[in-house]
Amino acid sequence: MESVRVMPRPVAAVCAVVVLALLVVPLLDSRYLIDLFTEIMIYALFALSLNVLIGYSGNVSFGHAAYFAIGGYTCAILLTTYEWGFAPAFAAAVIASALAAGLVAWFCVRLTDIYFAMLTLAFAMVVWGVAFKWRSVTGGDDGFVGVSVPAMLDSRIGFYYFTLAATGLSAAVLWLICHSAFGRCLVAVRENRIRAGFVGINTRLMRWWAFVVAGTFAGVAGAIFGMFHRGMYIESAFWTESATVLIMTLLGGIYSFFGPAIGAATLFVLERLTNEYTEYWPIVLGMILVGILLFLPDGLAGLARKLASYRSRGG
Amino acid sequence: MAQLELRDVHTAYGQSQVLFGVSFSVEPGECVALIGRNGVGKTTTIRSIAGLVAPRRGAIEWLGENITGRPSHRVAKLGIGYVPEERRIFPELTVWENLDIARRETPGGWDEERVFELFPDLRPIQTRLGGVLSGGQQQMLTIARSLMGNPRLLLLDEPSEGLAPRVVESLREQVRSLKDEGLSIVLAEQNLSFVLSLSDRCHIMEKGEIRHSGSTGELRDHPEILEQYLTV
Repeated sequence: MESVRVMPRPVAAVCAVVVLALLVVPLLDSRYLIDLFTEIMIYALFALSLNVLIGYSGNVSFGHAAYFAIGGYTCAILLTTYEWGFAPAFAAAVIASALAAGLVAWFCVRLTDIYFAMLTLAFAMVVWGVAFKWRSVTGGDDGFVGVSVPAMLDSRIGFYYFTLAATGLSAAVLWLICHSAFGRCLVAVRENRIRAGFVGINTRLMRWWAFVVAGTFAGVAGAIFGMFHRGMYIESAFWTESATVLIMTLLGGIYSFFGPAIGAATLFVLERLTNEYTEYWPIVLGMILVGILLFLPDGLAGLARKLASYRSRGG
Repeated sequence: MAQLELRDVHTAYGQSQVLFGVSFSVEPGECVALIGRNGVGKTTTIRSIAGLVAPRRGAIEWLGENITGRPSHRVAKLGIGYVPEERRIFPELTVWENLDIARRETPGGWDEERVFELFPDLRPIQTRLGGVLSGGQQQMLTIARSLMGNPRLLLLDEPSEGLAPRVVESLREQVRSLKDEGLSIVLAEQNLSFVLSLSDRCHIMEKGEIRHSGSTGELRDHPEILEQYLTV
Protein backbone atom coordinates (compact mmCIF):
# COMPACT_ATOMS: atom_id res chain seq x y z
CA MET A 1 0.00 0.00 0.00
CA GLU A 2 1.24 3.51 -0.79
CA SER A 3 1.62 5.98 2.07
CA VAL A 4 0.06 8.63 -0.21
CA ARG A 5 -3.15 7.74 -2.00
CA VAL A 6 -2.50 7.68 -5.75
CA MET A 7 -4.53 10.09 -7.87
CA PRO A 8 -7.17 8.09 -9.80
CA ARG A 9 -6.42 7.96 -13.53
CA PRO A 10 -9.53 9.85 -14.72
CA VAL A 11 -8.78 12.66 -12.24
CA ALA A 12 -5.12 12.78 -13.33
CA ALA A 13 -6.23 12.92 -16.97
CA VAL A 14 -8.64 15.81 -16.29
CA CYS A 15 -5.88 17.64 -14.38
CA ALA A 16 -3.49 17.23 -17.30
CA VAL A 17 -6.11 18.56 -19.73
CA VAL A 18 -6.87 21.55 -17.47
CA VAL A 19 -3.16 22.40 -17.10
CA LEU A 20 -2.63 22.12 -20.87
CA ALA A 21 -5.66 24.31 -21.50
CA LEU A 22 -4.40 26.89 -19.01
CA LEU A 23 -0.97 26.84 -20.67
CA VAL A 24 -2.45 27.88 -24.03
CA VAL A 25 -4.80 30.60 -22.73
CA PRO A 26 -2.24 33.40 -23.37
CA LEU A 27 -1.95 32.24 -26.99
CA LEU A 28 -5.56 33.39 -27.49
CA ASP A 29 -4.21 36.93 -27.11
CA SER A 30 -7.16 38.15 -25.05
CA ARG A 31 -6.41 40.44 -22.10
CA TYR A 32 -9.89 39.72 -20.76
CA LEU A 33 -9.34 35.95 -20.71
CA ILE A 34 -5.82 36.19 -19.28
CA ASP A 35 -7.03 38.39 -16.41
CA LEU A 36 -10.11 36.23 -15.87
CA PHE A 37 -8.11 33.01 -15.64
CA THR A 38 -5.43 34.62 -13.46
CA GLU A 39 -8.08 35.61 -10.95
CA ILE A 40 -9.82 32.22 -11.18
CA MET A 41 -6.55 30.45 -10.36
CA ILE A 42 -5.97 32.72 -7.35
CA TYR A 43 -9.47 32.07 -5.99
CA ALA A 44 -9.22 28.37 -6.79
CA LEU A 45 -6.14 28.15 -4.55
CA PHE A 46 -7.92 30.23 -1.89
CA ALA A 47 -10.88 27.81 -1.94
CA LEU A 48 -8.64 24.70 -2.00
CA SER A 49 -6.87 26.01 1.11
CA LEU A 50 -10.17 26.54 2.93
CA ASN A 51 -11.22 23.00 2.09
CA VAL A 52 -8.32 21.55 4.11
CA LEU A 53 -10.11 23.00 7.10
CA ILE A 54 -13.71 22.29 6.07
CA GLY A 55 -13.64 19.19 3.89
CA TYR A 56 -10.77 17.34 5.51
CA SER A 57 -10.80 18.31 9.19
CA GLY A 58 -14.52 19.17 9.43
CA ASN A 59 -14.12 22.70 10.85
CA VAL A 60 -16.12 25.47 9.21
CA SER A 61 -14.30 28.81 9.20
CA PHE A 62 -16.15 32.09 8.72
CA GLY A 63 -12.91 34.07 8.74
CA HIS A 64 -10.60 32.56 6.16
CA ALA A 65 -10.19 35.89 4.35
CA ALA A 66 -8.00 37.08 7.24
CA TYR A 67 -5.03 34.95 6.08
CA PHE A 68 -5.61 35.87 2.44
CA ALA A 69 -5.44 39.53 3.46
CA ILE A 70 -2.42 39.06 5.73
CA GLY A 71 -0.53 37.40 2.88
CA GLY A 72 -1.60 40.11 0.44
CA TYR A 73 -0.86 43.08 2.66
CA THR A 74 2.48 41.67 3.90
CA CYS A 75 3.75 41.00 0.40
CA ALA A 76 2.50 44.36 -0.92
CA ILE A 77 3.94 46.38 1.99
CA LEU A 78 7.32 44.63 1.95
CA LEU A 79 7.65 45.01 -1.84
CA THR A 80 6.59 48.63 -1.89
CA THR A 81 7.23 50.36 1.45
CA TYR A 82 10.37 48.43 2.39
CA GLU A 83 11.51 47.71 -1.18
CA TRP A 84 12.27 44.06 -0.44
CA GLY A 85 13.05 41.73 -3.30
CA PHE A 86 10.29 39.52 -4.64
CA ALA A 87 11.46 36.21 -3.14
CA PRO A 88 11.93 37.41 0.48
CA ALA A 89 8.73 39.48 0.36
CA PHE A 90 6.70 36.57 -0.99
CA ALA A 91 8.23 34.12 1.50
CA ALA A 92 7.66 36.55 4.39
CA ALA A 93 4.02 36.95 3.34
CA VAL A 94 3.49 33.20 3.42
CA ILE A 95 5.27 32.90 6.77
CA ALA A 96 3.22 35.80 8.21
CA SER A 97 -0.01 34.07 7.17
CA ALA A 98 1.18 30.79 8.66
CA LEU A 99 2.15 32.45 11.95
CA ALA A 100 -1.12 34.37 12.17
CA ALA A 101 -3.08 31.20 11.43
CA GLY A 102 -1.05 29.32 14.06
CA LEU A 103 -1.78 31.96 16.69
CA VAL A 104 -5.50 32.20 15.91
CA ALA A 105 -5.80 28.41 15.65
CA TRP A 106 -4.30 28.05 19.13
CA PHE A 107 -7.46 29.69 20.46
CA CYS A 108 -9.97 28.36 17.93
CA VAL A 109 -9.20 24.64 18.22
CA ARG A 110 -10.24 24.78 21.86
CA LEU A 111 -13.78 25.20 20.56
CA THR A 112 -15.84 23.16 18.12
CA ASP A 113 -18.74 23.59 15.69
CA ILE A 114 -20.49 26.98 15.71
CA TYR A 115 -18.30 28.35 18.52
CA PHE A 116 -15.21 27.56 16.44
CA ALA A 117 -16.76 29.23 13.39
CA MET A 118 -17.74 32.37 15.32
CA LEU A 119 -14.27 32.70 16.84
CA THR A 120 -12.67 32.50 13.39
CA LEU A 121 -15.04 35.29 12.31
CA ALA A 122 -14.13 37.38 15.36
CA PHE A 123 -10.39 37.11 14.66
CA ALA A 124 -10.95 37.91 10.99
CA MET A 125 -12.81 41.07 11.96
CA VAL A 126 -9.83 42.02 14.16
CA VAL A 127 -7.58 41.66 11.09
CA TRP A 128 -10.04 43.77 9.08
CA GLY A 129 -10.06 46.37 11.87
CA VAL A 130 -6.26 46.57 11.88
CA ALA A 131 -6.18 46.98 8.09
CA PHE A 132 -8.88 49.66 8.34
CA LYS A 133 -7.39 51.68 11.21
CA TRP A 134 -3.64 51.32 10.61
CA ARG A 135 -3.83 53.83 7.78
CA SER A 136 -0.14 54.77 7.85
CA VAL A 137 0.87 51.21 6.98
CA THR A 138 -2.10 49.70 5.13
CA GLY A 139 -3.66 52.79 3.59
CA GLY A 140 -6.88 52.20 5.55
CA ASP A 141 -10.09 52.27 3.53
CA ASP A 142 -8.27 53.92 0.60
CA GLY A 143 -6.38 50.66 0.19
CA PHE A 144 -2.69 50.02 -0.26
CA VAL A 145 -2.19 50.97 -3.88
CA GLY A 146 0.72 51.08 -6.29
CA VAL A 147 2.36 47.80 -5.31
CA SER A 148 5.87 47.52 -6.78
CA VAL A 149 5.67 44.31 -8.74
CA PRO A 150 9.08 42.95 -9.80
CA ALA A 151 10.02 43.58 -13.42
CA MET A 152 9.93 39.87 -14.30
CA LEU A 153 6.23 39.79 -13.38
CA ASP A 154 5.33 43.11 -14.92
CA SER A 155 3.91 41.72 -18.14
CA ARG A 156 0.38 40.33 -18.15
CA ILE A 157 1.47 37.04 -19.70
CA GLY A 158 4.49 36.71 -17.40
CA PHE A 159 2.25 37.21 -14.37
CA TYR A 160 -0.25 34.70 -15.77
CA TYR A 161 2.40 31.99 -16.05
CA PHE A 162 3.77 32.86 -12.61
CA THR A 163 0.23 32.46 -11.17
CA LEU A 164 -0.22 29.17 -13.01
CA ALA A 165 3.08 27.85 -11.65
CA ALA A 166 2.51 29.06 -8.08
CA THR A 167 -1.08 27.89 -7.82
CA GLY A 168 -0.31 24.61 -9.58
CA LEU A 169 2.61 23.89 -7.27
CA SER A 170 0.54 24.87 -4.22
CA ALA A 171 -2.35 22.64 -5.34
CA ALA A 172 0.11 19.75 -5.81
CA VAL A 173 1.52 20.26 -2.31
CA LEU A 174 -2.01 20.46 -0.88
CA TRP A 175 -2.91 17.23 -2.70
CA LEU A 176 0.07 15.46 -1.14
CA ILE A 177 -0.79 16.81 2.31
CA CYS A 178 -4.46 15.83 2.06
CA HIS A 179 -3.69 12.33 0.74
CA SER A 180 -0.89 11.52 3.18
CA ALA A 181 -1.16 9.87 6.59
CA PHE A 182 -1.79 13.38 7.97
CA GLY A 183 -4.74 13.85 5.61
CA ARG A 184 -6.19 10.48 6.63
CA CYS A 185 -5.93 11.49 10.28
CA LEU A 186 -7.79 14.71 9.42
CA VAL A 187 -10.57 12.68 7.79
CA ALA A 188 -10.73 10.51 10.92
CA VAL A 189 -11.03 13.65 13.06
CA ARG A 190 -13.77 14.96 10.75
CA GLU A 191 -15.66 11.69 10.90
CA ASN A 192 -15.58 11.37 14.66
CA ARG A 193 -13.32 13.26 17.05
CA ILE A 194 -13.94 10.89 19.97
CA ARG A 195 -13.20 7.81 17.89
CA ALA A 196 -10.05 9.43 16.49
CA GLY A 197 -8.95 10.28 20.03
CA PHE A 198 -8.99 6.75 21.35
CA VAL A 199 -7.18 5.52 18.26
CA GLY A 200 -4.32 7.72 19.49
CA ILE A 201 -4.80 10.82 17.32
CA ASN A 202 -4.31 14.14 19.10
CA THR A 203 -7.38 15.71 17.56
CA ARG A 204 -6.71 19.23 18.79
CA LEU A 205 -3.18 19.19 17.36
CA MET A 206 -4.45 17.83 14.03
CA ARG A 207 -7.07 20.59 13.81
CA TRP A 208 -4.36 23.15 14.63
CA TRP A 209 -2.17 21.88 11.78
CA ALA A 210 -5.12 21.86 9.38
CA PHE A 211 -5.78 25.51 10.30
CA VAL A 212 -2.12 26.43 9.76
CA VAL A 213 -1.95 24.66 6.38
CA ALA A 214 -5.17 26.36 5.28
CA GLY A 215 -3.98 29.79 6.45
CA THR A 216 -0.56 29.36 4.81
CA PHE A 217 -1.96 28.61 1.36
CA ALA A 218 -4.58 31.34 1.71
CA GLY A 219 -1.57 33.62 2.29
CA VAL A 220 0.01 32.39 -0.95
CA ALA A 221 -3.23 33.21 -2.81
CA GLY A 222 -3.44 36.61 -1.09
CA ALA A 223 0.16 37.54 -1.96
CA ILE A 224 -0.47 36.74 -5.65
CA PHE A 225 -3.79 38.63 -5.52
CA GLY A 226 -2.12 41.79 -4.15
CA MET A 227 0.52 41.78 -6.88
CA PHE A 228 -2.04 41.03 -9.60
CA HIS A 229 -4.25 43.97 -8.62
CA ARG A 230 -1.25 46.18 -7.78
CA GLY A 231 -3.00 46.87 -4.48
CA MET A 232 -4.71 45.47 -1.40
CA TYR A 233 -8.02 46.69 -0.06
CA ILE A 234 -9.75 46.15 3.27
CA GLU A 235 -12.62 44.37 1.52
CA SER A 236 -10.24 41.41 1.12
CA ALA A 237 -10.30 40.93 4.89
CA PHE A 238 -14.03 41.58 5.34
CA TRP A 239 -16.45 38.80 6.30
CA THR A 240 -18.08 38.94 2.87
CA GLU A 241 -14.80 37.73 1.34
CA SER A 242 -14.77 34.82 3.81
CA ALA A 243 -18.38 34.08 2.85
CA THR A 244 -17.55 34.17 -0.86
CA VAL A 245 -14.75 31.63 -0.56
CA LEU A 246 -16.96 29.50 1.67
CA ILE A 247 -19.70 29.50 -0.99
CA MET A 248 -17.11 28.66 -3.67
CA THR A 249 -16.03 25.68 -1.57
CA LEU A 250 -19.59 24.51 -0.94
CA LEU A 251 -20.57 24.98 -4.59
CA GLY A 252 -17.67 22.84 -5.77
CA GLY A 253 -18.12 20.21 -3.07
CA ILE A 254 -16.27 19.79 0.19
CA TYR A 255 -15.81 16.03 -0.13
CA SER A 256 -13.71 16.33 -3.26
CA PHE A 257 -10.16 17.70 -3.35
CA PHE A 258 -10.65 19.64 -6.60
CA GLY A 259 -14.31 20.50 -5.94
CA PRO A 260 -13.55 23.92 -4.39
CA ALA A 261 -11.44 24.89 -7.43
CA ILE A 262 -14.38 24.02 -9.69
CA GLY A 263 -16.64 26.02 -7.38
CA ALA A 264 -14.30 29.02 -7.52
CA ALA A 265 -14.18 28.95 -11.33
CA THR A 266 -17.95 28.52 -11.65
CA LEU A 267 -18.82 31.27 -9.20
CA PHE A 268 -16.30 33.66 -10.71
CA VAL A 269 -17.57 33.16 -14.25
CA LEU A 270 -21.19 33.40 -13.08
CA GLU A 271 -20.43 36.67 -11.32
CA ARG A 272 -18.83 38.13 -14.45
CA LEU A 273 -21.74 37.02 -16.64
CA THR A 274 -24.37 38.23 -14.19
CA ASN A 275 -22.72 41.62 -13.83
CA GLU A 276 -23.03 42.10 -17.58
CA TYR A 277 -26.83 41.99 -17.33
CA THR A 278 -27.71 43.19 -13.85
CA GLU A 279 -26.21 44.84 -10.80
CA TYR A 280 -28.04 42.43 -8.50
CA TRP A 281 -25.31 39.79 -8.26
CA PRO A 282 -25.92 39.29 -4.49
CA ILE A 283 -29.47 38.08 -5.26
CA VAL A 284 -28.11 35.55 -7.76
CA LEU A 285 -25.45 34.53 -5.22
CA GLY A 286 -28.14 33.97 -2.59
CA MET A 287 -30.15 31.84 -5.01
CA ILE A 288 -27.04 29.79 -5.83
CA LEU A 289 -26.46 29.19 -2.12
CA VAL A 290 -30.08 28.09 -1.62
CA GLY A 291 -29.75 25.80 -4.64
CA ILE A 292 -26.56 24.17 -3.31
CA LEU A 293 -27.96 23.62 0.16
CA LEU A 294 -31.26 22.17 -1.08
CA PHE A 295 -30.24 20.24 -4.18
CA LEU A 296 -26.43 19.83 -4.27
CA PRO A 297 -25.21 19.01 -0.76
CA ASP A 298 -22.05 17.46 -2.24
CA GLY A 299 -21.56 20.33 -4.69
CA LEU A 300 -20.75 20.16 -8.38
CA ALA A 301 -18.08 17.50 -7.81
CA GLY A 302 -20.67 15.33 -6.05
CA LEU A 303 -23.08 15.85 -8.95
CA ALA A 304 -20.35 14.85 -11.43
CA ARG A 305 -19.62 11.71 -9.38
CA LYS A 306 -23.31 10.79 -9.34
CA LEU A 307 -23.63 11.30 -13.10
CA ALA A 308 -20.49 9.22 -13.73
CA SER A 309 -21.76 6.37 -11.57
CA TYR A 310 -25.19 6.60 -13.28
CA ARG A 311 -23.51 6.32 -16.69
CA SER A 312 -21.24 3.46 -15.58
CA ARG A 313 -24.32 1.55 -14.45
CA GLY A 314 -25.61 2.00 -17.98
CA GLY A 315 -28.45 4.32 -16.96
CA MET B 1 2.98 -4.38 40.71
CA ALA B 2 -0.22 -4.69 38.73
CA GLN B 3 -0.14 -3.43 35.16
CA LEU B 4 -3.48 -1.67 35.52
CA GLU B 5 -5.14 -0.78 38.78
CA LEU B 6 -8.49 0.90 39.43
CA ARG B 7 -9.06 2.15 42.95
CA ASP B 8 -12.46 3.31 44.14
CA VAL B 9 -13.46 4.77 40.74
CA HIS B 10 -16.64 6.86 40.73
CA THR B 11 -17.81 8.04 37.31
CA ALA B 12 -20.87 10.07 36.32
CA TYR B 13 -22.43 11.50 33.17
CA GLY B 14 -23.65 14.90 34.37
CA GLN B 15 -26.01 14.32 37.28
CA SER B 16 -26.28 10.61 36.63
CA GLN B 17 -23.69 8.62 38.55
CA VAL B 18 -22.91 5.25 37.00
CA LEU B 19 -19.89 3.86 38.87
CA PHE B 20 -19.81 3.72 42.67
CA GLY B 21 -16.30 2.80 43.73
CA VAL B 22 -15.06 0.24 41.21
CA SER B 23 -11.71 -1.34 42.12
CA PHE B 24 -9.81 -4.11 40.37
CA SER B 25 -6.42 -4.79 38.87
CA VAL B 26 -4.96 -6.49 35.81
CA GLU B 27 -1.66 -8.35 35.88
CA PRO B 28 0.56 -8.52 32.77
CA GLY B 29 -0.77 -11.07 30.28
CA GLU B 30 -3.99 -11.57 32.22
CA CYS B 31 -7.52 -11.49 30.80
CA VAL B 32 -9.95 -9.92 33.25
CA ALA B 33 -13.65 -10.00 32.47
CA LEU B 34 -16.34 -7.60 33.57
CA ILE B 35 -19.71 -9.29 33.40
CA GLY B 36 -23.19 -8.20 34.30
CA ARG B 37 -26.55 -7.26 32.85
CA ASN B 38 -27.12 -4.25 30.60
CA GLY B 39 -26.58 -0.89 32.29
CA VAL B 40 -24.51 -2.07 35.25
CA GLY B 41 -21.47 0.05 34.32
CA LYS B 42 -19.22 -2.28 32.30
CA THR B 43 -18.89 0.10 29.37
CA THR B 44 -18.47 3.11 31.66
CA THR B 45 -15.64 1.30 33.46
CA ILE B 46 -13.92 0.67 30.12
CA ARG B 47 -14.56 4.24 28.96
CA SER B 48 -13.10 5.56 32.22
CA ILE B 49 -9.89 3.59 31.64
CA ALA B 50 -9.73 4.68 27.97
CA GLY B 51 -9.94 8.36 28.94
CA LEU B 52 -13.31 8.94 27.29
CA VAL B 53 -14.96 9.95 30.53
CA ALA B 54 -13.10 11.33 33.54
CA PRO B 55 -13.84 9.72 36.91
CA ARG B 56 -15.08 12.10 39.59
CA ARG B 57 -13.25 10.24 42.33
CA GLY B 58 -10.75 7.45 42.64
CA ALA B 59 -7.61 6.62 40.70
CA ILE B 60 -6.62 4.66 37.60
CA GLU B 61 -2.97 3.66 37.54
CA TRP B 62 -1.11 2.26 34.54
CA LEU B 63 2.31 0.75 35.33
CA GLY B 64 2.29 2.69 38.59
CA GLU B 65 1.51 6.03 36.90
CA ASN B 66 -1.72 7.85 37.66
CA ILE B 67 -3.60 8.28 34.37
CA THR B 68 -6.97 9.32 35.82
CA GLY B 69 -8.73 11.79 33.51
CA ARG B 70 -6.00 11.83 30.85
CA PRO B 71 -7.28 12.50 27.31
CA SER B 72 -7.92 9.39 25.26
CA HIS B 73 -5.12 9.96 22.72
CA ARG B 74 -2.56 10.04 25.57
CA VAL B 75 -4.01 6.86 27.09
CA ALA B 76 -3.76 5.19 23.68
CA LYS B 77 -0.13 6.27 23.32
CA LEU B 78 0.68 4.81 26.72
CA GLY B 79 -0.25 1.38 25.36
CA ILE B 80 -3.93 0.94 26.15
CA GLY B 81 -5.97 0.01 23.07
CA TYR B 82 -9.73 0.42 23.08
CA VAL B 83 -12.14 -1.64 20.99
CA PRO B 84 -15.56 -0.08 21.51
CA GLU B 85 -18.90 -1.80 21.22
CA GLU B 86 -20.76 -1.26 17.94
CA ARG B 87 -17.46 -1.49 16.02
CA ARG B 88 -16.62 2.15 15.50
CA ILE B 89 -14.55 2.23 12.33
CA PHE B 90 -14.10 5.20 9.97
CA PRO B 91 -16.50 4.50 7.09
CA GLU B 92 -14.93 7.04 4.70
CA LEU B 93 -11.48 5.47 4.99
CA THR B 94 -10.43 2.20 3.38
CA VAL B 95 -9.50 -0.83 5.49
CA TRP B 96 -5.80 -0.08 5.02
CA GLU B 97 -6.30 3.60 5.86
CA ASN B 98 -8.25 2.67 8.99
CA LEU B 99 -5.19 0.68 10.07
CA ASP B 100 -2.69 3.31 8.97
CA ILE B 101 -4.11 6.14 11.10
CA ALA B 102 -3.58 4.08 14.25
CA ARG B 103 -0.02 3.03 13.34
CA ARG B 104 2.57 3.51 16.06
CA GLU B 105 5.64 1.63 15.02
CA THR B 106 7.51 -0.41 17.59
CA PRO B 107 10.41 -2.73 16.76
CA GLY B 108 9.00 -6.25 16.54
CA GLY B 109 5.51 -4.87 17.10
CA TRP B 110 2.32 -5.07 15.10
CA ASP B 111 2.22 -4.02 11.46
CA GLU B 112 -0.11 -4.80 8.54
CA GLU B 113 1.55 -8.14 7.85
CA ARG B 114 1.06 -9.45 11.38
CA VAL B 115 -2.44 -8.02 11.56
CA PHE B 116 -3.39 -9.73 8.27
CA GLU B 117 -1.95 -13.00 9.55
CA LEU B 118 -4.28 -12.80 12.54
CA PHE B 119 -7.24 -11.58 10.48
CA PRO B 120 -6.69 -13.07 6.99
CA ASP B 121 -10.18 -11.97 5.89
CA LEU B 122 -9.01 -8.34 5.96
CA ARG B 123 -6.15 -8.80 3.50
CA PRO B 124 -8.20 -9.09 0.27
CA ILE B 125 -10.43 -6.16 1.21
CA GLN B 126 -7.70 -3.65 2.07
CA THR B 127 -8.89 -1.12 -0.49
CA ARG B 128 -12.57 -1.39 0.43
CA LEU B 129 -14.17 1.49 2.32
CA GLY B 130 -14.86 0.76 5.98
CA GLY B 131 -18.51 1.72 5.60
CA VAL B 132 -19.34 -1.21 3.32
CA LEU B 133 -17.88 -4.00 5.50
CA SER B 134 -19.98 -6.64 7.22
CA GLY B 135 -20.38 -6.57 11.00
CA GLY B 136 -17.79 -9.30 11.49
CA GLN B 137 -15.29 -7.61 9.20
CA GLN B 138 -15.82 -4.31 11.04
CA GLN B 139 -15.20 -6.01 14.40
CA MET B 140 -11.99 -7.56 13.08
CA LEU B 141 -10.93 -4.18 11.67
CA THR B 142 -11.60 -2.46 15.00
CA ILE B 143 -9.42 -4.96 16.87
CA ALA B 144 -6.78 -4.85 14.12
CA ARG B 145 -6.76 -1.05 14.27
CA SER B 146 -6.14 -1.16 18.02
CA LEU B 147 -3.29 -3.62 17.51
CA MET B 148 -1.60 -1.22 15.04
CA GLY B 149 -1.08 1.09 18.03
CA ASN B 150 0.96 -1.70 19.64
CA PRO B 151 -0.99 -1.81 22.90
CA ARG B 152 0.08 -3.75 25.96
CA LEU B 153 -3.49 -3.92 27.18
CA LEU B 154 -6.63 -4.24 25.12
CA LEU B 155 -10.02 -3.01 26.33
CA LEU B 156 -12.67 -5.09 24.55
CA ASP B 157 -16.23 -3.86 24.98
CA GLU B 158 -18.88 -6.41 23.99
CA PRO B 159 -16.83 -7.78 21.08
CA SER B 160 -19.29 -10.58 20.25
CA GLU B 161 -22.41 -8.42 20.26
CA GLY B 162 -24.50 -8.73 17.11
CA LEU B 163 -22.16 -11.21 15.39
CA ALA B 164 -23.16 -14.54 13.87
CA PRO B 165 -22.14 -17.61 15.97
CA ARG B 166 -19.55 -18.69 13.38
CA VAL B 167 -17.94 -15.24 13.46
CA VAL B 168 -17.98 -15.22 17.28
CA GLU B 169 -16.16 -18.56 17.24
CA SER B 170 -13.38 -17.27 14.99
CA LEU B 171 -13.18 -14.06 17.04
CA ARG B 172 -12.76 -16.16 20.18
CA GLU B 173 -9.77 -17.92 18.61
CA GLN B 174 -8.23 -14.62 17.52
CA VAL B 175 -8.61 -13.07 20.99
CA ARG B 176 -7.16 -16.24 22.52
CA SER B 177 -4.10 -16.02 20.28
CA LEU B 178 -3.62 -12.37 21.36
CA LYS B 179 -3.77 -13.50 24.98
CA ASP B 180 -1.30 -16.29 24.26
CA GLU B 181 1.09 -13.67 22.90
CA GLY B 182 1.07 -11.98 26.30
CA LEU B 183 -1.38 -9.14 25.65
CA SER B 184 -3.39 -8.16 28.73
CA ILE B 185 -7.12 -7.88 28.14
CA VAL B 186 -10.06 -6.30 29.93
CA LEU B 187 -13.17 -7.89 28.47
CA ALA B 188 -16.65 -6.48 29.08
CA GLU B 189 -19.06 -9.07 27.74
CA GLN B 190 -22.49 -10.60 28.25
CA ASN B 191 -21.79 -13.76 26.26
CA LEU B 192 -20.87 -16.07 29.14
CA SER B 193 -19.37 -18.88 27.11
CA PHE B 194 -17.13 -16.31 25.37
CA VAL B 195 -16.06 -14.89 28.75
CA LEU B 196 -15.51 -18.21 30.50
CA SER B 197 -13.38 -19.58 27.68
CA LEU B 198 -11.03 -16.60 27.59
CA SER B 199 -10.74 -14.90 30.97
CA ASP B 200 -8.57 -15.71 33.99
CA ARG B 201 -10.58 -13.70 36.47
CA CYS B 202 -14.11 -12.33 36.44
CA HIS B 203 -15.75 -9.41 38.19
CA ILE B 204 -19.52 -9.45 38.31
CA MET B 205 -20.97 -5.94 38.27
CA GLU B 206 -24.33 -4.74 39.52
CA LYS B 207 -25.59 -1.15 39.84
CA GLY B 208 -22.17 0.39 39.24
CA GLU B 209 -20.30 -1.77 41.75
CA ILE B 210 -18.34 -4.99 41.64
CA ARG B 211 -20.45 -7.47 43.65
CA HIS B 212 -18.39 -10.59 43.17
CA SER B 213 -14.81 -11.27 42.13
CA GLY B 214 -13.30 -14.64 41.51
CA SER B 215 -11.39 -16.89 39.19
CA THR B 216 -13.05 -18.18 36.05
CA GLY B 217 -12.62 -21.71 37.39
CA GLU B 218 -14.64 -20.81 40.48
CA LEU B 219 -17.49 -19.50 38.34
CA ARG B 220 -17.43 -22.62 36.20
CA ASP B 221 -17.62 -24.77 39.31
CA HIS B 222 -20.32 -22.66 40.98
CA PRO B 223 -22.84 -21.67 38.33
CA GLU B 224 -25.22 -20.62 41.12
CA ILE B 225 -23.08 -17.45 41.53
CA LEU B 226 -23.75 -16.52 37.93
CA GLU B 227 -27.44 -17.31 38.39
CA GLN B 228 -27.62 -15.13 41.49
CA TYR B 229 -26.30 -12.03 39.72
CA LEU B 230 -27.09 -12.49 36.08
CA THR B 231 -30.57 -13.96 35.83
CA VAL B 232 -33.44 -11.50 35.58
